[in-house]
Amino acid sequence: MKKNILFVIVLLCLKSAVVMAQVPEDAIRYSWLPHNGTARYMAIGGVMGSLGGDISAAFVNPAGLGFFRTGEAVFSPGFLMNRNKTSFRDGATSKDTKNSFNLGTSGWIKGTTFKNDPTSGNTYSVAFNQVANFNNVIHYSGLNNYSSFSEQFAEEFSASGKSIDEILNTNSALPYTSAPALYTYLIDTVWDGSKYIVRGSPETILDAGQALKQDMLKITSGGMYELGISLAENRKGKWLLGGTLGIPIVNFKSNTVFTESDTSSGTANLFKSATFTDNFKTLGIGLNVKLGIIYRPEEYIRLGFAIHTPSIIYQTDKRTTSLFNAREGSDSLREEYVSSIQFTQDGAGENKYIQVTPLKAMISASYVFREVENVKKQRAFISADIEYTNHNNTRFLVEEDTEENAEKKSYYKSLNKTLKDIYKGAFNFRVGGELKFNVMMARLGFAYYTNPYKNVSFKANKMLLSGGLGYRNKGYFIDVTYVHNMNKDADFPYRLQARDNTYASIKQTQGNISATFGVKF
Amino acid sequence: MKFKILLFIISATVFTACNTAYKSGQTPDDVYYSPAKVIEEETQTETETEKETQKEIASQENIEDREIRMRIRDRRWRDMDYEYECNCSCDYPPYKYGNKTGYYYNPYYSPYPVYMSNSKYVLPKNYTTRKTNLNAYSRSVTPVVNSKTGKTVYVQKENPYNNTNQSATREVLTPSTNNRTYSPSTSSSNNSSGSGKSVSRPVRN
Repeated sequence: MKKNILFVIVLLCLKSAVVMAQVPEDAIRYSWLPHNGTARYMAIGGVMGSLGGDISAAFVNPAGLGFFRTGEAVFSPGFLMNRNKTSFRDGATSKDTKNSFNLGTSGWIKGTTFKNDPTSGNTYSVAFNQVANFNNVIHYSGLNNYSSFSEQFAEEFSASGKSIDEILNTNSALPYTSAPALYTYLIDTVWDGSKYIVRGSPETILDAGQALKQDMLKITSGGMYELGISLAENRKGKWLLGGTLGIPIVNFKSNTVFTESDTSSGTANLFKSATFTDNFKTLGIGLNVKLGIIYRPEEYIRLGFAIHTPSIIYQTDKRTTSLFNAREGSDSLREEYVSSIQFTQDGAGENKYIQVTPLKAMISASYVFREVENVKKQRAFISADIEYTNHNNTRFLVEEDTEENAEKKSYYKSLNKTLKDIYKGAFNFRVGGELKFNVMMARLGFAYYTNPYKNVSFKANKMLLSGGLGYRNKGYFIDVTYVHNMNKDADFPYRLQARDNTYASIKQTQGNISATFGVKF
Repeated sequence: MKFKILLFIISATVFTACNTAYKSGQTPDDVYYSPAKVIEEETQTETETEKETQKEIASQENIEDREIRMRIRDRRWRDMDYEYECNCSCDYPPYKYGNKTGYYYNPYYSPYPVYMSNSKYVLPKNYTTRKTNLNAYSRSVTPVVNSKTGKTVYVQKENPYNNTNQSATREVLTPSTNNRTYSPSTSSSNNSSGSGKSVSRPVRN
């Protein structure tokens, strides 16, 4: 076992030399995640740092698998119901729903006992878990008399130092944003009396003291999954050690439609409406290692420590955008439409990179009443975890460090610095317990994930309340759980350098119904 | 979604295929206490595994016996394993129709092999990364240099966001704040640009 763990560590050290990403929001998507696992684990608030005895331990503290001296196979389907309330500027609150299937920890586990020492043994496990469910919809709208989304394209194009001809090219350097904006005249160069500047056509309306109507629809789907191959060792029931080789798999899709329109009665102010659509999907596969230890100073006390190495994920993004712009001329209305495909060699643009998620560490303690073989005398347990994740340690790297990737590498270096500036380390707290009545069990849990953003005035946190029941008899068991998530976050429709930014406040409520079916062998 | 349905089906199949060893008596709960495995069961499992292995060996032997019998009865089967294998050292075996190399040899019309390429010309992909203006993310903080340590720390602005139309005053960008000057650099070059063709804009009215 020691050799296996050493091999994994060496492999990870070698891989960590080549890590690289995209926009800052991509970082938090894979690090600020609530727990997911079997129904029993979900019902007790996701505590598994020292408790063990459940296959979910493979993805939390693999040492907990060492408690198994039997075998079992489990299957954990679930159903997630999303409800979002979004408020943007002075507009009305929007309500949106999206439901999807979920998959908790499912897999196979087998414990063995040493012939020469019945108090010690090894445990093997192969398990699959859905780490994140990205199925969601966010919709908000409101009036804005301060800024226009076209200004982000104007800033980007101006800062690029490139000419219009360089951008309007079948292999453009800014094919998704500035190229469509320039093509449709949403942004253009104008003479201000001393020099040419870049302006968005909706700015004319804002400068006249009028407002624009803005509408954002963002639909996301997919998930992040992980295959875990685990090995644990129980040493005389006192010390338990374990490790999991994790293979994270990313499948993320995002479809965004942003519309901005003129609210004035003027018919010759250069702008009527514009609709920008942005579709991209990310596919990725990676590697991580989870190591853990549990110590039992007394029969009923369990103390645990676990560390999750960064996941090194090889990602591929495919992206297309399109822009429709209706502009009011001096005597007529002109409508222009273009797809980014025109600027990416007639196919979807593609980008390959490496993303490294932050390291995670946790400590935990459990108190188990009556650790006896007779099931009728087993009474209850209570457990608590404290987890720390440094969200600003996410890193994006180029896949190959070549001369062709020099510009990407430079961008990723700036991006990694920005991540350091805007995110911070955050603690997560989980507590839960169970009461056992022979073959029936009742559970409650609570979890709180703190704010990962640095220097922000908006609220962001995740709170999960959970409860569930279990039945275990005749070699089979079934657990059912309901988890109520209450999340607060913010969504920025666009970001500007020269003006104060605006965001939508999101209150998300999720109902997660999950079940686990298991068989002992 | 298809991926998830497939996982459900596989998991459900594995689950239903398992037989429990605890149909009678108590079902262990490994969170509280995990009993050691009964030794007899392991012995039985080993015996079953041995039987399976013997069956596989017997099956393989049957196939080989059948091949030998066929070769004795009919000479055409004697060379069946070698008829189309290229064990010779020649570069262009006469009946090897180029399967992996792309070369096609026609023994009737031409003494030389000809190359048949199936590849089509594909435009190179655009590998531009998904970027954003990173300077926009630092608008909510002000850099302050610590006079003692010399280090720069970032302090949160009192009101860094504009989320209402009530008090909004849209600043007129001055030359010092205007970062939108159009000044293309003639020496600018980009790995993703320059190799494509120009795209003409529609005529502006």
